[in-house]
Amino acid sequence: MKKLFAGAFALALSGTAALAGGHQQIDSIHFLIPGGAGGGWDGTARGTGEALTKSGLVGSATFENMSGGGGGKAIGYLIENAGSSSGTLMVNSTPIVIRSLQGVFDYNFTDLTMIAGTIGDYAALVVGKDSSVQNFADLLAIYNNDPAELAIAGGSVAGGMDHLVAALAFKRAGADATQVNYLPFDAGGEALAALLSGEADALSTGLGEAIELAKQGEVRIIGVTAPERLADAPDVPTLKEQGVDAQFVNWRGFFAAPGLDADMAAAYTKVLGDVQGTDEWEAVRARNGWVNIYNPGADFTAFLQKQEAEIKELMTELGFL
Amino acid sequence: MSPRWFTLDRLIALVILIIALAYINASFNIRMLPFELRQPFKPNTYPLAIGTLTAIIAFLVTIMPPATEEPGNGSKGGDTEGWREFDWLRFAVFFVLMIVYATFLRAGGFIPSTIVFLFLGSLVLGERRVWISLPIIAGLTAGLWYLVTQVLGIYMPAWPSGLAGSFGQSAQIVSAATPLVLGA
Amino acid sequence: MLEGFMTGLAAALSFKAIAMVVVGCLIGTFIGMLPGLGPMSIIAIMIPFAVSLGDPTTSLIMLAGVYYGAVFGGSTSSILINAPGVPSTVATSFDGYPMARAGKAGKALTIAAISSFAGGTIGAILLTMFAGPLAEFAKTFWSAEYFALMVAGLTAIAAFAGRGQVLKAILMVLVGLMLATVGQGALFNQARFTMGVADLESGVGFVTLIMALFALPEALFLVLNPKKGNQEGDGQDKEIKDLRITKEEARKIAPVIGRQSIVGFLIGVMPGAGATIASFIGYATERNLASPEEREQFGKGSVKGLSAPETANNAASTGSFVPMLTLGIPGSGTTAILLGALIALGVTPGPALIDKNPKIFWGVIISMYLGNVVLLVLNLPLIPYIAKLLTVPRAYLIPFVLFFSLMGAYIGQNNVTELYLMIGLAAVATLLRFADFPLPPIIIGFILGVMLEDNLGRSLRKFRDLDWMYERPVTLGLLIVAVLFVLVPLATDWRARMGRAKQTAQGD
Repeated sequence: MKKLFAGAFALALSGTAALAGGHQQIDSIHFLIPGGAGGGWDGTARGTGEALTKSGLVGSATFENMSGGGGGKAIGYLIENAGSSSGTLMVNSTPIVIRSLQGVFDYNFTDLTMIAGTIGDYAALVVGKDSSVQNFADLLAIYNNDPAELAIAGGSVAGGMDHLVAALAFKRAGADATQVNYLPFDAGGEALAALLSGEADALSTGLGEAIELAKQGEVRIIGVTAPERLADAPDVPTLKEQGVDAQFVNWRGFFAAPGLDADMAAAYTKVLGDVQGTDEWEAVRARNGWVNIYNPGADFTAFLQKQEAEIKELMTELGFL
Repeated sequence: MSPRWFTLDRLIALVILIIALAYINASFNIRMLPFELRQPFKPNTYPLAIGTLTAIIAFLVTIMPPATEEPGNGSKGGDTEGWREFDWLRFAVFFVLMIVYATFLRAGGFIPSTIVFLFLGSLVLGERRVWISLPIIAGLTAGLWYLVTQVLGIYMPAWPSGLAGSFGQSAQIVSAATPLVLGA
Repeated sequence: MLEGFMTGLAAALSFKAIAMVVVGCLIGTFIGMLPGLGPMSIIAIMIPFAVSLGDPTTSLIMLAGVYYGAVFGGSTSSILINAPGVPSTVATSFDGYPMARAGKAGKALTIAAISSFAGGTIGAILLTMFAGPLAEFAKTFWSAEYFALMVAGLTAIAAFAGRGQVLKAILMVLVGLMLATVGQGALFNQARFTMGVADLESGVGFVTLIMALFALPEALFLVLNPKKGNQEGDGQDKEIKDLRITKEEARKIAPVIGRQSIVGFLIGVMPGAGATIASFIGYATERNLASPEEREQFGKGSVKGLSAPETANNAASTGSFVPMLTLGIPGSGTTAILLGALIALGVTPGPALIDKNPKIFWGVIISMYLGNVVLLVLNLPLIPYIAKLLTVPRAYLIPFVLFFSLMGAYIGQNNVTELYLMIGLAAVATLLRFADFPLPPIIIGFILGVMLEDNLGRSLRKFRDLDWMYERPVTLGLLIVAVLFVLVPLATDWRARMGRAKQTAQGD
């Protein structure tokens, strides 16, 4: 009985129940995860691998966790072992840009081969349901009156992503963005709890983190950093439509070793895009609440360079660098 | 134990005192971002507080009257009684074994390194019946590797990297070679 | 409410559901024994399988079985080889391991199982009755209150401040607090005190430290002193496997279970606290409530000292479902993952859950009752066999304990530097033991230190002064409790020392 279940797991978990489909594009991919098992990067890599293998686009997927140095160890490993790592894709996300700028890593993300951005989440500014704040203008009025009176919680460190987004919004609205009274929490959930308890007056977080509670009327999203309203959340106003051109997307995507053969890079880029059209991907995506933002090869590179320049300018101005 | 002044615990407290002072010094040298300098709670506010407290307490322990042994308080001290007769050599051997194991774990692969580590460990501790110990150790190591990698899906290369192609992949993985990708 | 409860009950009592909870419990128990694989990672690993079962209620019931099994499995390694794989079972090892060392492993495991069961079940009852109002209660806690709660939790070190040991225990807790500041925290954008070592940027790993301080020195001491073990262990086969608890012991732990179920549950309800804090506070509270003779036994194999944290951490784990189910906020790493599972099953937790999806809401709660019962029924008969692991010959047991300890930090991380760090810290820990420095305070300081600084920092940013320490009644109350917890042992220590000084003076 136990053996039977163990077998069932292996199947369900490693997701290698390859369909005999004739459309296999790549034989195998080794995913390098710069953090421990169970984190956000881990879930992204394993979910992507699951969809790739179950849909039959990729024959097999293996996953290697390599934590250390806030992700820097894996980046270093991929660069130093570039010659033998042509079968490896490393998952990463927006913080790689921020942390590269801060000089945390020995290497910069631009040293790697950029494959594709695959999923993302827009940032949102959120208030409690009983708050007097109805829109971004109300929030700005409080902030302009006395920034210290507006405690904004977020799930990343001071000077990190959530702080940056709040500051970005105020900056683009013409206010002095250096005065944000930011309360850093360990995770988005704790920051959300602080909003509900009244410790924080507003919350800066990922839209995915807040959308469910907003649908139930527990919190109010007063602005999202998307270019236009989202199909999944048509009632949520963007900051842009409120006259504040603050756009930001927290992406997750994949990188390969430096000097990777162009054909191979193109093959990886293609397969990560093709998978998004499959039912298997849709199942994984829905399970994790991801938003598709497929951003292939050269576009991804251009996007990252633009994001880096924007963030650098903002962080310098705010005194984050 | 005679109430000598220079006891091991005083020496350790002195070392902690030095560490605390170095910690305080390092707290002053934390690179602070411009915006953090304006904050009431800086990256070194709390470290300075606990570092100072540690230095004070460590100093007090170095000058404190000796903690005389109380009857009935021996349960903790009992561990270290008669330390002169302890098997220090074997103790050192185990430290070396652990360091060597850690060093070769990645390069040597999980299964060979672990079998060697456990086998040498049992040998040092007096198990001479190799024909019994080796199969047990090999079986347990392989079983654990199977559980962790195949059932739980956690990555851990079993063999030295050169051999990975021949044994490392399980039957579930469709094919281990990567002709399409690697093929020039 | 009753109707919803019955619907959930009917779903939970199907054959498939019960089979799944049994499977979940078994898997959880055995994987949970491996250090480094706590309930959180095991649940994360099991979610795809649970989701594939199709029916949400059945999936949740299976995950509950995995969860309770993993928590119990974690306690097992704490008790048997002093290797707590997750922070919430650290306090369990304080008295559980000394009991096992004294040859009472079977008894210790039984007390742990019964306390877990009682804590979990009473927690589930409280959850059934008061989920709504409790969610409101959870909202009253700000960082200021959490800070005070951490201070109260730190007083658990009092148990290791024996006579003449008070300053040493305080020194050790401070060392733990200093260690906790290494690396990148939640507050600041830079890694501190890494001394240029890149691997320290994410801080000292919990498993690395706990194995270095607890499991490795224990195993290495057996290597050092071959005589010692020979007196224990051998010829005690019967007692090791003996599960029975005497009537007197039952009388001792009953009130502990009663109190700690409630206190632990309430702490668990707070989204920023959780099972670890609950276990430390439970331990500290029971030690202070115990009679002076019983207090002496804490840290040396007290049944109360084992029962208190085991009850409290299970009740707290159950309590952490309150904010998740009613507010949609994950209060702990484990509930965050379970929240993910719920969403994967197409269920959105939050205030509307009870009305919109009563079958799921009650299904979750009933799965808790069922998970606890199955765990007890399943594991009590297994305890003699689990305890017998200790009778494995030394030549195998010691290398395996060392191996398991090293693996705990390596599995799923693949970072060898952690292993070197662990071995180095183990050498330091051995030295500290020779000098009679108590080691548990280091780990208490290490675990609570991060939350102590974070909550202090947030409160200072929010209020810009320290007035909140006396202006917020709950904060003040908790701080007063903490001060009392410290003063009681200090006073006894001082009195004892005075008495001794007088004696020696007269003796001269």
